[in-house]
Amino acid sequence: MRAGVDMRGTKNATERVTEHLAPGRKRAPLLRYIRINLPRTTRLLLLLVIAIIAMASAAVALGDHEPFPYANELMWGVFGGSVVFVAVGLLTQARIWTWGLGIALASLLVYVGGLAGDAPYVWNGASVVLAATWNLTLIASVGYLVLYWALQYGMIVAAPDDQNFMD
Amino acid sequence: MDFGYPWWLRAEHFLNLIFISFLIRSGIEILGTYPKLYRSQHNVAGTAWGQFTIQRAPKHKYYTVGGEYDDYSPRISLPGRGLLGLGRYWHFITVTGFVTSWVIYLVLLIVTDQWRRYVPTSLDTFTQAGNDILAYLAFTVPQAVYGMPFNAIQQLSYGFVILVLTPLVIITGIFQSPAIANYFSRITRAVGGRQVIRTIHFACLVAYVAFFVVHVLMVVLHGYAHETAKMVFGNSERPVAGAIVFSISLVFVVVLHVLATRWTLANGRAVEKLHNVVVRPWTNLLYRLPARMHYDRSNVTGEDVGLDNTTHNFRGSGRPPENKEYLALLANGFEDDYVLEIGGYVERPMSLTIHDLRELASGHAQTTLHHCVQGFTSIGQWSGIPVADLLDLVRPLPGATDVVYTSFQDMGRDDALYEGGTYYESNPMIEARMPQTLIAFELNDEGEIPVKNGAPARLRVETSTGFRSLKWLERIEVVNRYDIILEGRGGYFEDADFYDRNQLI
Repeated sequence: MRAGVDMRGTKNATERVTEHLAPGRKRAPLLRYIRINLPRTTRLLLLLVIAIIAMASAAVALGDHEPFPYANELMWGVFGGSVVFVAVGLLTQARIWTWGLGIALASLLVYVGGLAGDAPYVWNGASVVLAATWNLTLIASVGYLVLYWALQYGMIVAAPDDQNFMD
Repeated sequence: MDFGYPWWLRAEHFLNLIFISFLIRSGIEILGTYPKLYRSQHNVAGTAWGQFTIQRAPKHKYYTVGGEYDDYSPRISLPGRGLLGLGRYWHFITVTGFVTSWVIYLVLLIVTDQWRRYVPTSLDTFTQAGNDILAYLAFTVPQAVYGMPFNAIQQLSYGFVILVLTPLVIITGIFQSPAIANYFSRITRAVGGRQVIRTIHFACLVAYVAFFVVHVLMVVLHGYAHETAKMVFGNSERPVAGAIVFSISLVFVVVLHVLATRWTLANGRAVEKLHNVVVRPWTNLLYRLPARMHYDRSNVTGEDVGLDNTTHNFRGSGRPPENKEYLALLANGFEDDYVLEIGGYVERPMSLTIHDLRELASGHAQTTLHHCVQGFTSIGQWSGIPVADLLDLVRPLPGATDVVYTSFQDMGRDDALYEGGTYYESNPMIEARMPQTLIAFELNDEGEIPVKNGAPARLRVETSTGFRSLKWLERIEVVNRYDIILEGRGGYFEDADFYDRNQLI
């Protein structure tokens, strides 16, 4: 056993073995070729994205342009959850990425709610800064969803996980 | 001044569309043959920060770098199918045009005062760029600065790409050349070694792709017809015509890629000829840069993985000979049986044993960085005798031009990855006489070279890529022409694949 892998008598002792190939295909889907092994950086990046959601949500909640009734309460909820998430992420090695997904989706739901209500866009009378901050909640949430998908797909890994490259 | 969009700026924009897209595709081809990126030039197993392959790590006790390639689709890479040599040819052909046009562009920017369109002349530009970012985030379109062709964040972005990213990608590309990296060895070391430089070069690729995506998005956001007309006519007075002409030029670029890919896959030798016409005139100048590396024993690959026998960590490439003659020599430890013949177009042909070589070398050693053509690097301390000293002993006859080395290795017999016959390589006399061109017979002060690294003797050509440092050396011949040997291209890989004998980059 080496790094949890049984090295004995396997197929690729003698031949090229590839992953993610559909039967009869020569090549895998393009994104399967990308595997980044920067676990600590990725962990920090995921925490940073949630921190951005937290700060942007708090800033919008503190503003004078509530997107819809009780939106501020929801955004403070997103902020609170995000603070706990970032604290747990920094202080422990827990794999909390699905919690983060909940936060990103909650933030996204607030944004979608704003579309149906009176979202703080410039054309709705909000300042440029407030509109930018509001849109930042969307961009950061979508960013987290993309990162979470990449994590599930195996393109990236977050500490304490590792790609376990052997060569 | 009225900046406008002068014709040469528009021409440069169009040429860059071609050059950068060709560079990206051929660069992906090059990456695919060693699809791993590291932070240390020792390429310690398991330490890659990124891999771009679907191949599982081979579980052989010994596997060669030759089997680590991944053949990307020709739709992505140029030409695709793991054809490194042809990918390199395209990269160098294109880079010749790209760098030439960038230098001309730079000169024109300076002499016409157009450099002001990219270089901020006031700190206010940065404040304004911050405001522009906020405006974009607010889903509004910021206005151009008064008197400027674009807004502050565009100015900084274009300035960064043209004046920072482009020189960076050129410099990190230049330092992929073994001749340059090993001549300016101290600079190579100072920036962290070849793998760090390779990683930065890759980051530049990512930056170009990211810029391209955002740039296209912004063009659409600002108005496709309005913006593309500026790049066609220099103004946006005829947006529809501009958009049509620009769109046709995009189709032209795509057609160019399709034709280049198909032509390359159908007739690689023609691409080689084009490469030799375009690239060799400037790469041959690199023969003036002899390797002068200054590594020492503490830099040798292996120590950082904590193994006592460091030679085991100098990567191997290629399969050792499996013929009876070589195996018999191996069984007897080479010392008494191995004889290196040096003959051909010389006054005094010689046969030298390992003992003779050791005596002649009188303790000479060099610690050097190995540049594999695929991308890996290792550092080893090689004991041996400079080829120049051997040539002085055998005295080449007037008119001798090249030195040909023949290996015990037969590629078709010894390596399942390849076809063909005897592995051989040749040096033009200028390369053979370089101070760090060496016949090595010992690695890292630990006795004879391990079999995987070329026992009992091998060539070290430190100004070129690794495959030209022939292993398992059987004999040396001085010749007055190399082009009548086998296919006439000067080496096994030059004959059987698409590699340049004058491979200094």
